[in-house]
Amino acid sequence: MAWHVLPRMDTSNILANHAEVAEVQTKVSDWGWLPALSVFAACGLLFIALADAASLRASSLAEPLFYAGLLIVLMPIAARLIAIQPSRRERIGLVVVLGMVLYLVKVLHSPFGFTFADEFVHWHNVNQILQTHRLFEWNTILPVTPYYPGLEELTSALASLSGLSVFYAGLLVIGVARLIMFLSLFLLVELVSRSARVAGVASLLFMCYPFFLFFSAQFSYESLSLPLVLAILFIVARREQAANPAIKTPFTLLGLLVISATVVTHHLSVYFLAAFLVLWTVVARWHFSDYLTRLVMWSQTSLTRFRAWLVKRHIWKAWLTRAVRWMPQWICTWREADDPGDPSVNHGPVDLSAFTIVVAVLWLLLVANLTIGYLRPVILSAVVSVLRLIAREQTSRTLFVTASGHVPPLWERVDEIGSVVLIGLVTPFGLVQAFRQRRSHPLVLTLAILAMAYFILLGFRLTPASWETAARGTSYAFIGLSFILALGFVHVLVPQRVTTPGRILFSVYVAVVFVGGFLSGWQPNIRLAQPYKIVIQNQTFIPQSYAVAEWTRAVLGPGNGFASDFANGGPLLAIGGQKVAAVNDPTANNLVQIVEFGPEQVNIIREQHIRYILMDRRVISRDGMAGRYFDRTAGQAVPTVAILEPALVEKYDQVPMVNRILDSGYIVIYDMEAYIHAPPSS
Amino acid sequence: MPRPVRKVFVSAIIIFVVTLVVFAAVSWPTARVFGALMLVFLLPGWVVVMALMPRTTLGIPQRILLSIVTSVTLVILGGLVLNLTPWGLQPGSWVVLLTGITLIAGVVAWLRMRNSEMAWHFPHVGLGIRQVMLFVLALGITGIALRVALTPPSLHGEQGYTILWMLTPDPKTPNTLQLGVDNREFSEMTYNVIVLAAGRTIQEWPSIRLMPDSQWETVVELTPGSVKSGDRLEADLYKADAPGIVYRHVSLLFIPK
Repeated sequence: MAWHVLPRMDTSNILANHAEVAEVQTKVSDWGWLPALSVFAACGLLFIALADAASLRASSLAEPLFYAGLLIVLMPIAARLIAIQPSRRERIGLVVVLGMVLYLVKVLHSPFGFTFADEFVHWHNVNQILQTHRLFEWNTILPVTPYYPGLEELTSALASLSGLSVFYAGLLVIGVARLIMFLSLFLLVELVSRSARVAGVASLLFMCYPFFLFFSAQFSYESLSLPLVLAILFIVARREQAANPAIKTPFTLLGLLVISATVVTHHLSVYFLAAFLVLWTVVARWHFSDYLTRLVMWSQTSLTRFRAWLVKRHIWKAWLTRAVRWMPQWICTWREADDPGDPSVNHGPVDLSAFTIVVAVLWLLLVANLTIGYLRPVILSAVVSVLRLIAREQTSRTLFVTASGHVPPLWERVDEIGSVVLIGLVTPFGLVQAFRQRRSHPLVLTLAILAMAYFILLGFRLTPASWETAARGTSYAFIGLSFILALGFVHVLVPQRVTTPGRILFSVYVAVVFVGGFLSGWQPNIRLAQPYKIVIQNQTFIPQSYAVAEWTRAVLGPGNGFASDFANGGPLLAIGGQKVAAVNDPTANNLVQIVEFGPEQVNIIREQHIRYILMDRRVISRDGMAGRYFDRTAGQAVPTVAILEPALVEKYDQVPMVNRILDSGYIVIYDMEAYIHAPPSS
Repeated sequence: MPRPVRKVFVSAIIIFVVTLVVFAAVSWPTARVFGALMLVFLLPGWVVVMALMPRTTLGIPQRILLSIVTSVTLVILGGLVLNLTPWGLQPGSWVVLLTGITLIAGVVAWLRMRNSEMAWHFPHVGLGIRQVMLFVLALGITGIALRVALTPPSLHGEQGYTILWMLTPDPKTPNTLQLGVDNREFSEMTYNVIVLAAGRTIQEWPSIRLMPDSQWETVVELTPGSVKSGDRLEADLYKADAPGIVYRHVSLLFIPK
């Protein structure tokens, strides 16, 4: 393997004068394979649409069609991006086409309305803004979300100006956010690596993180904040590169504005941003590259002395000679090939780091102080569970078994493991190249450190309490990991012209990692479209949870206190406009999941003003993602759904003075008015 | 020469004004959507970036990215400002805010570019007929995919349902009940509904025929002799083809207010 000096920027022009611009534009006018590969991607999307249609018909062809479609979308573009021929324009086009087609996969999954759990929460917030024309209203399922109204402001503005429904406005907002994500990441990596090829491959590999396809594409505040974070990183990197104040000042102003907008959009994203900017500053200012160079020199010297000692002691053997001889030379090549880089980028964004921290803290303390109570138990339980696992005080969760007890088929388990192994195999090559390029830009080392967080987060996935925290954190770690993997591929593994078998191999690599990430990040029973809108003879039918939610708004009026399970909580909030405590709330847990009804429950009803309780007799109602769809009879007289124990679902029928006001088969609503005004009981 | 720059800038302003007029007409939904998209995602940010960097040559991807990000940012931060005003976040206030930012930034950009000697060249697109046809084909196939997805499925083993509901007496009309049935069973249904008070039948509807996705509501008058305070009122719904099985059941305690 040969080590290569970092190539100069191929076609990107940021401060170019007019002549250079004209020359470059002539060179980059080639669209290459983009038009043809766009057709391929569209065909893959059609396969996925057919897969979703097959899923709605409970056809066994659904899954094969779906994965075939994904591979048709992904693999040809991957094979093209690893090649050295594509122009910068073509690479950007391929990244954008791929990213937007993969976003449309989520749109095809739920084309008629919001179906994911978090989407109902933000849908309700938008409804509140449209009705009251004010921010910071209430939300009983996720009370912290109204205090990060960035997504809702954007959606309500678009909906009210365009006349579109909240659903379609939300789809457009997230689509634009995705465009921001892909462009930002490409331009950021290109700026740091000075290679459009690395940027294209990194953007491709970034799409392989587990939550990319569905979770990060849903109508939720993190789906907007992560792209904004990437945009900020690009703006800051661009600013750091500029020596001319005429360029530096505008980018500083833009950075301040976008950071402020991100603070208002999502909590964890801005905390990550602050930590990353601080790390970047530390890496830049403390000359980590110099320390690493000294470490390299010390290693070389030590190895040489160790070899001399072995020779003196007559321990030196021929095989030792072969094993050790190349090491000092190898280390020497790192030093010799080291690129001095641009000294102007070595100061670090200390001002923007400080600004981010100050604004985030001010927002947290003055406006969104609910965030502390919201995040603390989540993060603490994640950390504590991992510590207990390390101390062997608890066992790890059973891998590859979902909460409902489903065990995936062998090929899925192999792919999930394989994706992690493949990432682990290429990462060292990327890290070595990052080490060699450490002086070219402080972000190189910073992103390398971030990439290592991926492997730490893998450990967090071993406990149930920390699994989701780790999975969400992986999306941020992938910012660095995708860069490192791209470096490994472009500068080490396939630096020269790539043969056809090499391109196929790379596209297979990407497919395994992408599908493995997708399988580990999305529960199996909702990977394909599920029925939540049926049309028979021009009449539209919706599932029970949606219909009951509509009934509560129309008949009971909005704003009533409800306790409900997870699946029905979202529709009650967003469609019914009710103040609902869903099953992740201790209130609802006590009323909906426990068989007993005693003084404790009465006190909860009175203190929380729970006027109505919704009981759904299906086991799947506990699943916030899969519990809202139509149930299927599979040809039988009754649906093949699991039912909860009668003692639980019928408990309020035995409680005196409770009114059973609605019965839809699975769902029953009880009126607890008599207990709201009951005296406190001990 | 600054003229090419001014031409582009003037063109942008004209496009913006035309967009605004069409949007303001609100009689053509597509134009309204287009205008809203431009106003929320592109125009304010584009002009602000021009005002901030009048003499900087940005590549097209950078300019598009910065324009969109800046527009998004202005909407988010602008919404916080609107929230402090008496009008709040309404269509009119959004239009005033976003067009105001665009016009002010446009004037600033004009003034800063007035003495600029920098020429601006329209980017060379370089698309041949074959490439355009391929892009059109890709868009067409994507449209077909969306059409497939947006075709609502018909019945494939899903289960319909019936909703029965009963509400407590309204304080304004204490001796009445509201009773309702909602047929979501995918086919026409015939129901039998019985209302009981303390186990005694007080009213019955033996044949309620409902088409799919249709409702039946009634108000039950409670005569003093038929029900007294503390009685449990019940409503049972039976399907006509299964008269012996209670299909849906609701009940409430009669306590007149």
